[in-house]
Amino acid sequence: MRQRLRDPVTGLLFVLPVLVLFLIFRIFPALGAAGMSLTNWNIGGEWSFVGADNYARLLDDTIFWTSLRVTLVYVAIYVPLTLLVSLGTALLLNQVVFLRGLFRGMLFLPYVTSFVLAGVIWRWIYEFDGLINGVLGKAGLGPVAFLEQSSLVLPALAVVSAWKGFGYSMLILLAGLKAIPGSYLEAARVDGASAWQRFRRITLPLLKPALFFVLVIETISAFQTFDTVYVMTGGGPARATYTLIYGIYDHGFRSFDFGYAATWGMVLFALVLIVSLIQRRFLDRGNT
Amino acid sequence: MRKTAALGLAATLALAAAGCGSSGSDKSTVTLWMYPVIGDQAKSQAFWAKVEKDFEAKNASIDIKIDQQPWEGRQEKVTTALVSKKGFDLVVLGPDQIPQYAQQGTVEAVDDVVGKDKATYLPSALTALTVNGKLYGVPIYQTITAPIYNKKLFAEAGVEKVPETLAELKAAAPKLAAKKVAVLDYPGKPEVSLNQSFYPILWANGGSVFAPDGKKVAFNSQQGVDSLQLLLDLKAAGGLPEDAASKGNEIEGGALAKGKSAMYHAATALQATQLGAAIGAENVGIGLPLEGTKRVAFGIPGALVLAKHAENKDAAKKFATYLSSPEVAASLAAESGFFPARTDVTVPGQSAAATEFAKSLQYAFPGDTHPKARQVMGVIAPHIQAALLGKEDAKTALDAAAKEADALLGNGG
Amino acid sequence: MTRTRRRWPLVALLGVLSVLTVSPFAAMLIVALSPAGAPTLPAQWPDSLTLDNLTRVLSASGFVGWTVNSLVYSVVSVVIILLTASMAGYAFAKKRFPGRQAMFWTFLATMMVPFQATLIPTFVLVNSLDGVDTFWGLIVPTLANSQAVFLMRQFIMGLPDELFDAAKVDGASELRVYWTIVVPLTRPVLATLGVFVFLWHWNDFLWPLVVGQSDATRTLTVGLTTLRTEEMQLSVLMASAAISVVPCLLVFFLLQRYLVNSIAMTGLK
Repeated sequence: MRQRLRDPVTGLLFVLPVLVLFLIFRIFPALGAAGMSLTNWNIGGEWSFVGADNYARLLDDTIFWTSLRVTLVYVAIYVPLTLLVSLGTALLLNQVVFLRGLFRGMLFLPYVTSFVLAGVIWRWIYEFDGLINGVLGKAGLGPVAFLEQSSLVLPALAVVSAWKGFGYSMLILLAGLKAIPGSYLEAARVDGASAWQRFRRITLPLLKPALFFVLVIETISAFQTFDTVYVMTGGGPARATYTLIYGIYDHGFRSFDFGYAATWGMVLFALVLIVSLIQRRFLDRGNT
Repeated sequence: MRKTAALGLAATLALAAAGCGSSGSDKSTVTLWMYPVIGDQAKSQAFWAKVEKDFEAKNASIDIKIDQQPWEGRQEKVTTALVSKKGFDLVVLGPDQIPQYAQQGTVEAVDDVVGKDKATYLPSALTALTVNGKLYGVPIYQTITAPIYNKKLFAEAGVEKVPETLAELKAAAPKLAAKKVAVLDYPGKPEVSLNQSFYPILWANGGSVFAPDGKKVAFNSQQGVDSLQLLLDLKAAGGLPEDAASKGNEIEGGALAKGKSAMYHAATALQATQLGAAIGAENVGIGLPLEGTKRVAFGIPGALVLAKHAENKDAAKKFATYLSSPEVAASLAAESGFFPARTDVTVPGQSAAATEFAKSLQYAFPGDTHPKARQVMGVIAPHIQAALLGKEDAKTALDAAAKEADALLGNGG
Repeated sequence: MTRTRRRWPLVALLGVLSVLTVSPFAAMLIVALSPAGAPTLPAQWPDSLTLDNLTRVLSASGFVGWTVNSLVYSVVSVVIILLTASMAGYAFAKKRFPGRQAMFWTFLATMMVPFQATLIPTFVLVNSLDGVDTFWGLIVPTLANSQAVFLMRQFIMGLPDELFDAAKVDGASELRVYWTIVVPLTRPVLATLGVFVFLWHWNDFLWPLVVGQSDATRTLTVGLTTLRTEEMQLSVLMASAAISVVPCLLVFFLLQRYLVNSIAMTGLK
């Protein structure tokens, strides 16, 4: 068997700095939030223990169930979209040599910018007198109210987030592709494997750690999409984009009902955790 | 697990409470969080530096700190400061945020700051800042909207007097339409606040958005339907721009600036100036809010709010008194382009346009300070848009919006 | 090398995608260069261009201080996170120690707790340690970065074990193995991560806004928003957006050459 490290102390020492930081600045506040969800805490700092009341209220709250559905639909659109775009562009960048640095820089640009800018730009694009409707109008169609119709607004927002975010996963996957030894692919080519076979049998399996990373991160970020909703729709129209994370903000910082907001936070946390564990079961077997 | 969490929270809070001892100087410090109400940064800095210096010269024992904060993220920032009792002593807020802070006991009543001068403030400003009979904000400036006109277009169409009532507006529509000019530049895009589009017409007709108890909406009343019907009638008579359902209210590059529409009923003073730049200032008319059964203009106060955690409340109140005094209010209004919130103030060097706008201050109404006001707006706007697009009639549109809005109010807790 | 063959259809496709992705920025730049108040995109092309908006933002009195603060916030965080995350990632990927799996998944799980829910407890904690309006209060809480640890672990897992065993046989110390094998071999990933950490901190808004209460610790992203009036003209807004993007682009292009090099594992098997 492999000769992994014999003494466990070095391993712990390597983890120690991160461990201390996490205990103080992540886990402690997270416990604070969990504690808050069992209270009726408000900004005056007054609170009393209310047990599971907030959770009971959640079950009866139709807005919560709407919000849950909105969130799941959004995640189901955003994650595949972003994965496809980032994997596609990463593969292209890995194949093309001509002007590669320039193309990579251009494709990464949206990730660099602020959401304020993304909001302004995409409103131009989606508006009634905006870019898409201008093109549709010339073709004698539309106008389409992208941000005003419940059925279109979630895909429209997913496109904005994907545009803003795919550069991240693209770079990670590119780094993953670079880590695949060229000799493996060369050997396969010599053996007469087609491009698809090489991708399917060599690239994809070797890319798995990077793919798993990207999948988990993009899923978490999909569940936590706040800025896009905040700058584009503010949860509307008629709650069609009222995601769980937006609900936390709304209950906490708009209504100052922090106990209840923390309850939404705990549910969102549990949801993301379950989804990530499922992903791990199916994709990370043998790697952890 | 539960216990640990609760203990952790309690410990954190206890630490927080212990952590805010004072700095120990014999001067009492007052921190004001100010927002960019004066557009030009250099002017803004000079103005606030002078305010600080002048006040400290008269009150040697008080040290004033004025921090400029961004509008963005204001809700989060003010809230975290109140929670941890760290940050400002005084902060500028609008009437829509104050009721909740007051109800949760994190801000202090300031009736005594306004005190004997109460009668000199705009009544609407004080009403908007009062919660359960106590005043929670000292108004230091006021915004206002009023109709602006392209006088030339009305004259060319043979309309001698620009419309001052809703009825006159309707009567003028066909005459301007004959010249291919839309009488009213109505901005129906959902992003435009209804306070600057539909609500002023609703209010002028005597309608209101919420029922008096705030538990239901009331905009689908007869007055509401009449208001929307007015827009639809205008539309039918060629009185609205073709794209009224989706246009914004930007003057720059808009239909008003291009001479394709003739008036906008809820403009700001800045917009009047911008229109002047486009069509010539001599052609711009500024009127009083359009009259239905009454005149109502949207306008809100900006008010100083005192944190309950402030250590030197007396010093802070002294400073608030100074900031709201006629002399400071006058120069703030002159620099910011907003208006004083009190009637005994003469703004030096006020432009002719601003003087016209100031006449509407007596009709100022701060909109509905309901906690869900913004969400309700988000529900109504798409239905008004649908009506303007001819997809729904006035009553259907407002009833559908009311149903959604009531559901929202009923569930929100 | 077969890779050097030019693949024109792919190049064309990539070119079109890149131009589409970038076109909004061209629009932003044009608006930023339009005279304030003059008609411009999307309605029509501007009649003339000017640098006024850019100089107006650049001449803001706090500008230099804010930029320095942003650099401190971003660069210090990049250095510490790269160091701590690669050490932890190495341990999680290649070491056996008690509680390894549980610890790793707890780290990951903290990433799933929504920031909106922990903002207040975190702020209260930092405040109780007297960290409000200080650099350490700004920086230290952001150093616990699960994504960085996770990323390093995933990539170090791909390095062949034989490498480490060989070094062990040579009697190299653990720190030496980390410094001479892990760090050089993961350089492209470290560069990528460095870019990300820099960007996250440079563009971070809510945390610096809440913790930095005065100009002493205010970052550029927050500082620029203090110049925004409620009715600000779009051209000035776009100018300030354009200016805050510049350092991010610089960092990206400076680190390009590390991103280009592939991990030198060919020939190692």
